[in-house]
Amino acid sequence: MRVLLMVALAAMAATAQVKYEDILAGPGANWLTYAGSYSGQRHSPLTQINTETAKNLTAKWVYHVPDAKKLEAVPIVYDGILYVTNSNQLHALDARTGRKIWVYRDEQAEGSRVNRGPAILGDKVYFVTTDCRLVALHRKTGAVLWHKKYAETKDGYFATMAPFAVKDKIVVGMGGGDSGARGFLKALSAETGEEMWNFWTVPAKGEPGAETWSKDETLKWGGAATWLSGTYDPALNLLYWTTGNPWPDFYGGDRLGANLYSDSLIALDVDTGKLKWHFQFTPHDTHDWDAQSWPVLLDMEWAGKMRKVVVHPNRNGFFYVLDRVTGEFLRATQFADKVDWAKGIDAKGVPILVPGKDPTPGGTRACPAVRGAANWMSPSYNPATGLFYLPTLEQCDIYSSSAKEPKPMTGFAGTGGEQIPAEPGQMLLRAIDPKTGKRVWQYPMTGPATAWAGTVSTAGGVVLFGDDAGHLVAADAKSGKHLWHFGTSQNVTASPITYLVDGKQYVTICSATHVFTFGLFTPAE
Amino acid sequence: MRILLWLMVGAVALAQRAPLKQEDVAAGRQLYMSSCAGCHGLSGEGGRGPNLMTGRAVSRSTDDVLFQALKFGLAGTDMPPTNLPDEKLWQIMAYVRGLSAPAYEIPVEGDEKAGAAVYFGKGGCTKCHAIAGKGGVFGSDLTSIGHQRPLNLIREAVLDPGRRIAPGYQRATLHLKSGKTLEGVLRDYTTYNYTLQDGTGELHFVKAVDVADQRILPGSPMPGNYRETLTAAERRDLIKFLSRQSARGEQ
Ligand code: HEC
Ligand code: HEC
Repeated sequence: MRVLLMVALAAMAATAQVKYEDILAGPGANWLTYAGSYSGQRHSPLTQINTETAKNLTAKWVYHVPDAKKLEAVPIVYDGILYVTNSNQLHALDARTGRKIWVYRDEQAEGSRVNRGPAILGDKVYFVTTDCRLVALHRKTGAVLWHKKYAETKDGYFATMAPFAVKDKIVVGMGGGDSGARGFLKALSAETGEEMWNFWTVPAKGEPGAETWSKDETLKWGGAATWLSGTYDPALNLLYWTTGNPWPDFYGGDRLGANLYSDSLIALDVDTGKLKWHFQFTPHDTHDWDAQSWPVLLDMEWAGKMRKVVVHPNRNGFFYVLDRVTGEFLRATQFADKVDWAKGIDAKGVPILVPGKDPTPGGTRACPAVRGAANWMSPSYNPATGLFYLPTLEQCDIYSSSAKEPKPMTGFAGTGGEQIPAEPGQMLLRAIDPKTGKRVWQYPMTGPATAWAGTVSTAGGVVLFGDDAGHLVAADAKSGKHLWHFGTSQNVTASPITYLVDGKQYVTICSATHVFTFGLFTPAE
Repeated sequence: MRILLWLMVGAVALAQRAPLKQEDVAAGRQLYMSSCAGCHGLSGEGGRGPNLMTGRAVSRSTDDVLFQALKFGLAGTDMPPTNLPDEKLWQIMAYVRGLSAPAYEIPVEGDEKAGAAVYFGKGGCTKCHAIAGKGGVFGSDLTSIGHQRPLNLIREAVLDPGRRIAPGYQRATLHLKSGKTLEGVLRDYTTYNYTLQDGTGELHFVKAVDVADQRILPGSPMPGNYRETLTAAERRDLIKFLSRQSARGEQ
């Protein structure tokens, strides 16, 4: 013991480190960013779990996250260590056994909220606290390297998102758009937490886009929150990020106009944070249809030649294809059956509105529901099948509004959307061909339509997803045929991942309170 | 305890606490030593009465509830009423609060700057411990120790490290069947697996079936002689410095 070699934290930097290039390489043995790769495809090249073997999947371990209520985290896995977050906590687990290595708790953070997961870069793991601090921890010891406050709760901000590590930056966003906070996206230095750039998702007076808000004062509390992670194209150096609804959510009378950049996809230069282009899915939204679903980057044949596109299923019920270099609108197709607010999307990408679908004081029936036909639950794309796997909700709601004078940070949203008791929602997994926008197969689920579960696709020809009755399901990626399922007995509120440890493929998904991990059956040693 | 809890439930709405003042804490300490230490221990570590440093009854109860418990005792238990004027009881309470409150939240005597000098210099603490990323990996991270532990536990950790080992820091030597030997602290161990972190911070995930011999050593890996090597003033200042460590700093 006396001869024990001891080193300083800084000297450990020499040991295995996550490089930007590792994240760039996409998933394989590790799972290094929320969507697995910068493209957002959530497609793993692993093949041990395949259409033949999926039936032999079995539980390997279950980790209970104390005081968890609704885990929405997508874990990061690096070098056999799995990192998962809960409100103001980060747990580092041995991915072979699910045993805890260390836990970091920030007991002083304000309140408790969902958290969508950590990020990793270098020797650091990162996560955001409820009150908008980016925390950097040493990935092996859990030692706190720094805390960086990047927004004030007194201004209506909170944080739930998974930070996004790119180059030498950690990109962070905010929540609070439903109670009148002004949206932003920031890049902080991965090394020190210092701010490198800031992009306001609601322009200031006089800036381009400000003319899409009828009153200047609304610019200060326009919403357009940035609570999900994004995607990134290294060749174009562009970051793709979706924004939330304008505020007040359900009453638009005080904010006539399109309300940029709410409900949009924005493409920013990753080095400067400058806006390259934007596309708004739902101009002047009054149904709380945040654009927080994934902007997935594909290289796809379009009108006879390869084109760099971004595809995006929106809460509003349409599946969009845009040119990701220029933002040019290429096509939108309806992916949900229950869509009645618009007849379609015109050649310029503008919805053809059906009159009488705005919320009213007495309530208006409209579809999709406030939860959207799609939402933040991760879809995935398999290049081999050419299919896009999309968790879909078929539901309508009664939307009501109130013209009360909007006061930010008072919980006022201009009222809301309510489920119609006699018309329960239906969740399905749909496989869509992005080339045509057509449905190829669907997997209807039973359940209360309360799941928040996403998908992961694998080169083994299997798509894994959470269903609406608390199962993790494996289906044949080509046909949608059921291969295997496992009941967690809980609502599944996150998206699965897959990775290798000691050469064996694992699948992990968080349920409301537990982390479940599966692998192929092997007899006990 | 049962009664205290019951009273607490009724009083959650009043969960305000008076700020702790240095004079009250000091006076309260004297009174505690004569009226309470006999049952609750000299540092609140417990005895006939429960531990007042780690128990949650104190930190979770309101001033009113705690005051009632001190004044009238807890009926049906060995916790007696205390026959002292109310203002003295409030002083005892200030001290008792400080026993379980995070050290950062209570007044602590000493010179923080001088304490930093001991920590980074003579104490040699950085060899094993890190604060905000600076220092060693072998001991627990002290970046937020002021928020994580009450004062007495910090004092005890420094002056009497063997007494209570921070979870995940049991010293061990594992001789593997492969002939390799691993030394370090056990972040975790079960009948089937060990997670050992060595002095370089490297993690070793070892299956029990691969271990020929395990030595889990008693005591703390931390030096146990700071009472001798540091002067009383240095110890006081060092503890003051530790009590101020907070990842968030002043909010
Ligand atoms: C004769 C021994 C005795 C003395 C003297 C005594 N206590 Fe206690 N105290 C106890 C016992 C025993 C309990 C546990 C009661 C129960 O069973 O819930 C207790 C409970 C408490 C509790 C509740 C803690 C918990 O975790 O449940 C507090 C606070 C407390 N005592 C503070 C004091 C203070 C302050 C003094 C001095 C003014 C004091 N006690 C004097 C024996 C004593
Ligand atoms: C040889 C390495 C080593 C040195 C030198 C050392 N420590 Fe420690 N210390 C440890 C280890 C290992 C632990 C965890 C085991 C335990 O609780 O005793 C620890 C625990 C602690 C704790 C308790 C932490 C907790 O989470 O409860 C404190 C406080 C502490 N040390 C302070 C100090 C200070 C101050 C110094 C310098 C005066 C110092 N240590 C020097 C290794 C060391």
